[in-house]
Amino acid sequence: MARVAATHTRLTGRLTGPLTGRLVGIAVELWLPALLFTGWWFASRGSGSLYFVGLDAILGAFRDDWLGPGAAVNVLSSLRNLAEGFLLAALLGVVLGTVLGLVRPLGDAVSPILEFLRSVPGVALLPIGLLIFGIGTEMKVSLIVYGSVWPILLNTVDGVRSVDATKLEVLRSYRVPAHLRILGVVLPSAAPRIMVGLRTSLSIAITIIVFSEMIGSTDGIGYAILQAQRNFEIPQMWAGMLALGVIGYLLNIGFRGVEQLVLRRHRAMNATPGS
Amino acid sequence: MSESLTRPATTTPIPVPGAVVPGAVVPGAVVPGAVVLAAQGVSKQYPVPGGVRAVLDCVDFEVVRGQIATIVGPSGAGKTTLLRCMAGLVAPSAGRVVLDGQPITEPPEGLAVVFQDYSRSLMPWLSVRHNVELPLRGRRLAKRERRERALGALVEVGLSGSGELYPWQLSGGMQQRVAIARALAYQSEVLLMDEPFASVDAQTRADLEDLLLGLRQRRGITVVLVTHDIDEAVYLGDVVLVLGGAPTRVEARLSIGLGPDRDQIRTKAEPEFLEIRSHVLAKIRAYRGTGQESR
Repeated sequence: MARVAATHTRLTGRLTGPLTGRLVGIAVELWLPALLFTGWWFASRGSGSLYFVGLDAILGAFRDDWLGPGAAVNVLSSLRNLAEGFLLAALLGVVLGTVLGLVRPLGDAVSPILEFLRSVPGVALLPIGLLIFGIGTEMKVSLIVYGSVWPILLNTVDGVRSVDATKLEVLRSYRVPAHLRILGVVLPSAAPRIMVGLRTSLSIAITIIVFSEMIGSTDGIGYAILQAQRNFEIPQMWAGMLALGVIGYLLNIGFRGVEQLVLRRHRAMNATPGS
Repeated sequence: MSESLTRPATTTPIPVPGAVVPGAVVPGAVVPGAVVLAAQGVSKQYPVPGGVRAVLDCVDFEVVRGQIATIVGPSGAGKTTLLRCMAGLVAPSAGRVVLDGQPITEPPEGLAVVFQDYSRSLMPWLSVRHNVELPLRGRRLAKRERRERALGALVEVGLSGSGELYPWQLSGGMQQRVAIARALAYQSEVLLMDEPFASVDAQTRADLEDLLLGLRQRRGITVVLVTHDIDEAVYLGDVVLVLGGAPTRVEARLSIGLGPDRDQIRTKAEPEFLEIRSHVLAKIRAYRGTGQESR
């Protein structure tokens, strides 16, 4: 059924304009979640359970807590920390990864240390983060940076190292200066690998931000969820998780958009037969 | 001509090609001029477990300005290694390569390389024009001048109007034309080509060979072309260097008296072409034999 629908999308996408194709694509993606949601609504209607409350109550709390102006404080606080931490990790990971990838002896020397450090989960550093930074923004941002830099760093090292030797020889033989070699060829070559690292890091960063807000914070989405649970506001707790899910989903869509933009040439190339 | 053909194989350097092989220069052939590129006693060894493997042994030859010198030899004879030494990409273990009187220690400005594998030597994320502009990006050139040079080079290789396409949207032969345009835009005097037409079909190959002959006529560039195809070596070359032996030496150096105007059908049917061709083939067969025995 799904396959038939997908084939149909591709066909309509090709035959009619891109807009119609996109609408059909959205419909194909949405029918199952919509069905499950409806099922949830009817199954939980009039639920007497204390913990598994009715969807109508959850949606009511969701509207009050997360769609009103009151939501801005928590959402913005979480997103700002997430953005700061993730962008810092990306910058650090790509720059360090490029250096370690290009200077092979250095990369080989620090490789065991990196492997050890990345094996320590980011959230395990929460206690020391609390000691050093207290419960402020610095603690959360630095935890995100520490926890999510590794996939970016290691993928960048790999990507930079696997740049085609022929391309590097072309650059050498045409005396292209080092900064242009890196920006113009090494990084674009490594871009698919770097994007893989960024994608992994984004989900790690989201985990860390929620966790750090639950443990050591006075605002943010994670804080709101835990607070609701402590006050036995069960619908509010569920609504917080729902909000988290929606935000995570939107972040992923946003990331996919950025990825498609960055890798548009790579994608077009791979879609061309015989290349 | 027959005199040069029966001349025994030699590894001694030949200072002025036309003069050493009397009778080889026929009317219309490239007049002997100044030596632009020379390999002087180039040897190359690679370390292998338990010793070294010698790839090149005291290779000597000279290329005269405006000439096409083709290097032909059995596969594994170190042709590519020799070209990489000449390009300044690897340093010879002994001897030196001299370009315009200057020993080469790193890739020099006066020399451009066209690699065999166009799909790897072009940057797929850059448009054709930007690929051609790539060697100019480090130079102090106005953006506009860079662009004009690139477009001019694309016209010369017959790719006007393809500048905004991407390499993977072009056929193999067209991609190699882009690589040639990139070398032309660099405006170096000497073009080094490593089996440039080995990965395209026969018809495209003939077209590209004729493109190269035309470029030499119009631009007066000097070309050193490595190939494993004897027909190609003789058809394109003013001078054919036959490599052979293990480690590799220059086993024969033949001046080709076919003149600058060559034609895929007419030239390849000329008795002289056929004679040289079978002569080179015989030499390569012989040296491939000795090469395998001594290994």
